[in-house]
Amino acid sequence: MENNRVVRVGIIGNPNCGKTCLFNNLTGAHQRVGNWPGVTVEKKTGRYEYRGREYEVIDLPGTYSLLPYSLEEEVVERFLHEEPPDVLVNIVDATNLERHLLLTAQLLGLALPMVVALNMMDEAEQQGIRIDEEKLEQMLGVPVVPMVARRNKGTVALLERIALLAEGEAGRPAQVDYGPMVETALQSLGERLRPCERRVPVRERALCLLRGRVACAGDSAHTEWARAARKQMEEMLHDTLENYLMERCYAFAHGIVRMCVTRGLQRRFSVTEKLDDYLTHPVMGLMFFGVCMWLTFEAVFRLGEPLTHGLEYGVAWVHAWVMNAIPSGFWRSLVADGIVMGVGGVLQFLPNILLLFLAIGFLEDSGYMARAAFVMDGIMHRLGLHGKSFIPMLIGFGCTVPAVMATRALDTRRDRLITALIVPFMSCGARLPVYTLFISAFFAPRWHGTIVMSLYVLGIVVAIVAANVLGRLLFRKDYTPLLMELPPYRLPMWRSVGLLMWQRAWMYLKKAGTLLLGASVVMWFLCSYPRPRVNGKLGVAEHPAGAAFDTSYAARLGRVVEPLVKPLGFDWKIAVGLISGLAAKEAVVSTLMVVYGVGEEGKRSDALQDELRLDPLFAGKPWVAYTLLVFVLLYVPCIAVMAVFLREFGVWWTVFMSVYTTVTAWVVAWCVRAVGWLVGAVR
Amino acid sequence: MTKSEHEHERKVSSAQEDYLESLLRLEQGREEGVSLSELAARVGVSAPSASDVVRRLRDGGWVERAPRGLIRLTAMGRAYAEKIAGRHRMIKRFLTEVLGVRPEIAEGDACRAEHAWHTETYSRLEEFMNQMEAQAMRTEKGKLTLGSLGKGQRGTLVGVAGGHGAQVRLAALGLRVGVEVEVLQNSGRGPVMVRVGNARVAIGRGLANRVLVTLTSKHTIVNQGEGGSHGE
Repeated sequence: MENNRVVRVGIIGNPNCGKTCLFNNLTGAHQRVGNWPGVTVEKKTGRYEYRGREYEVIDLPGTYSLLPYSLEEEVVERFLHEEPPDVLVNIVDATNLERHLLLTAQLLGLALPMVVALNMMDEAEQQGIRIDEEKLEQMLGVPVVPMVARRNKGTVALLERIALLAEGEAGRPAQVDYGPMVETALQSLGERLRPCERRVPVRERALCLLRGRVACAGDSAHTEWARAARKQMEEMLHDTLENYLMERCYAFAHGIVRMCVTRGLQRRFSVTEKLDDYLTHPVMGLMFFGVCMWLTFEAVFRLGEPLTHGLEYGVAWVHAWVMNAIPSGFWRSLVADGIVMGVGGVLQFLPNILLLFLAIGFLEDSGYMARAAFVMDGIMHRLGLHGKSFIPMLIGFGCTVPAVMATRALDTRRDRLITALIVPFMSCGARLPVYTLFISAFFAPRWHGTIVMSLYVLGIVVAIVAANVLGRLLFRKDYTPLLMELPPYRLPMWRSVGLLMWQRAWMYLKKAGTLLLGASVVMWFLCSYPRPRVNGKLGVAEHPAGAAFDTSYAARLGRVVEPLVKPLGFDWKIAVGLISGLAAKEAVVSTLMVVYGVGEEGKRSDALQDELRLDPLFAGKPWVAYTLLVFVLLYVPCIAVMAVFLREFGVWWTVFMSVYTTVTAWVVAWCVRAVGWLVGAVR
Repeated sequence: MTKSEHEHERKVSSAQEDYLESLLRLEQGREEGVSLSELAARVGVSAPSASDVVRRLRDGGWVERAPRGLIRLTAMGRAYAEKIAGRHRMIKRFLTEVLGVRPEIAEGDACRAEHAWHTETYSRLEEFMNQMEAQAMRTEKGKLTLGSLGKGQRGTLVGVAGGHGAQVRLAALGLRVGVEVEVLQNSGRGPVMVRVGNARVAIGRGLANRVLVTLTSKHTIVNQGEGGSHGE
């Protein structure tokens, strides 16, 4: 291998055995987390340097075996076959070696330079498990490095091993003996395959073919041969070939564990099991879960409030400074009203977002998230989903984008799609500013909490109904049972939670700097041009911006759309706000500021509230405001969600999602209005 | 994975399904393909009308041309035909084993029913047959389902009823035949939590009811986990 080439190192292992932790140890401060282009499921990549050589580390999604069942596992299989890394780091859990060696057994067949990272040695020691590393190394035929990834122990030894393998240190990886029958088939199939050039060893390709994976087929004649051979073998086995191969891999792993592992007979004291007695209890578990959620939201909103206020003052200050620094005219208007108010208005919610992801990171890292899924599975199952769907829904309270991505953990496309389609109904953090604005304008303070809560609950109810309807109408009812490992409880590592928060904050800032900046500049332009020739009518003459707005492009657009929202009791001004909400939900607020001409004042954050109270549309009719909030809760999510939907599910599902959410929003909002009529809240 | 099976089903008429199934049977043990007249004879139509349907199937990507003017199923077509054939077997089993219909009548009825029903009916029937199989296996001496074990009870896994996919999936998580599991949480509703080796695994209720175990003594502590007895 030439010395100047970047060495690609792939990290592979079961879910929850410390891959990402190891990834962070290796890449350290230099890590650069980025998406992989062209692949639907994300792999994280990072870089580091060791002894003057550059390494690229690829953190693959967790997988239990190379027989793909979920999308994530399929990505791993494809990656290993199509773009095999130069060095493979297989990380295994020393406390549960036999099961983890199953994947190792399958990986050995790839004949890639590989090192086994024996993680969680400290926990193994505590449990009285002793592993003879040298013997393990001999039996596997690949180097083994004991380590404790969480404490960053053994990283240097691993770096050294990777370097040696990259230099071309050859090992002789052991091979699983699949028994005379399969071995003979592999042999003769392998001889036929020899002509084609691939990096995957012949034996592995033959195995793939026998298992009926077309991905590795060279020629349809080989596929045919493999199919016939498979059929013959299955008849002799009275079982499927997959089961048999799995059994052989386990026999391999079992043999190794018996030779290399000794364990004390004492029953260990396990905090995890004690906790699980209560936390997964059918009654107490649910109660705990409820309390846990409530605390999370309290923390996010209560603790976030002072910080948000601080930022608000900051934005007002910058706005005032711009107003002084730039002479009146085009540039002042653009910078002050378009950029500072638009982007600044959105930045205020950064603390809330950070706190929410702090909470989610904490729940994930501690291992509680999986318990939440366990506790909720019974209820979710009756709704036609399963427990794992609950996690994306939970994340959806923060932001819909990561929630849609989190659906990847679900095994079937049906579950993924249904979950992703209902996630937009979970009220995301960006909608909160809109609620706050209208609720503080029209409702007495003691009702504020209740009204926000009612919106969140309405979102959940709509999501549940939608899941049911979608499940019945669009998808065949597949039988997809829950099957999930529950990781042991661990104290969250501040480093990894902090990293998650930092990444989210960065994403949010990037969004504010690009998408929202663009949207507010566009909205500013649409609202300010063309300049009016006469002074405005409609009783807004005292506000110059309002007058300018009345003849602007935005107002024209709003009037075009008005008939659509008229039945819900909204007018063209609200329509403009709703349209701008496509860019981001927070933009509804900043647009209304421009629409009602309060941008120029800027200093008083309740100026817009006063304007809204004076508007005849809402005056004395809080029910209309509530109807609007219901519509904002449910209608088509922002562009970022559409983009992620497009990437995950394709054009048609994106179109479908946009249309059906908006129709749902319209219908539900109309019903809310109708109820208002019946009780006499609207005339 | 761009198209769900659901979308596929819409595009294939029941007549076309017959062709696919017939092709599957004719192809058995032959690599070179099947001639059109042979296929027409099997379906029971004239060669010209068969060629029409075959052309449409080829456009849909279900069937492809083989050398010497023969045709054969594509991988997609084969998968689909095998699914239809699986349905056929399932319906026939239901008719003969549950309702006691004579095999020759069941054969003909299964031929028609395999296309005619709604997909939901098929999956309900499959669920029913799986349950039945589980029940049949349960009545064998000493076998219980994992779902019926109480908290703290231990059992040795002896089999999984219905669906080999489920068996492989369970095995990947360490739940393979011969291993000992301990139930950590089971409320009779919702999922079951078990310990296997050193890991805890949550299993949905429906699946847990299909996992068969034999009870082991409640107080066995030796040889648990890693070295769980391996069926040899």
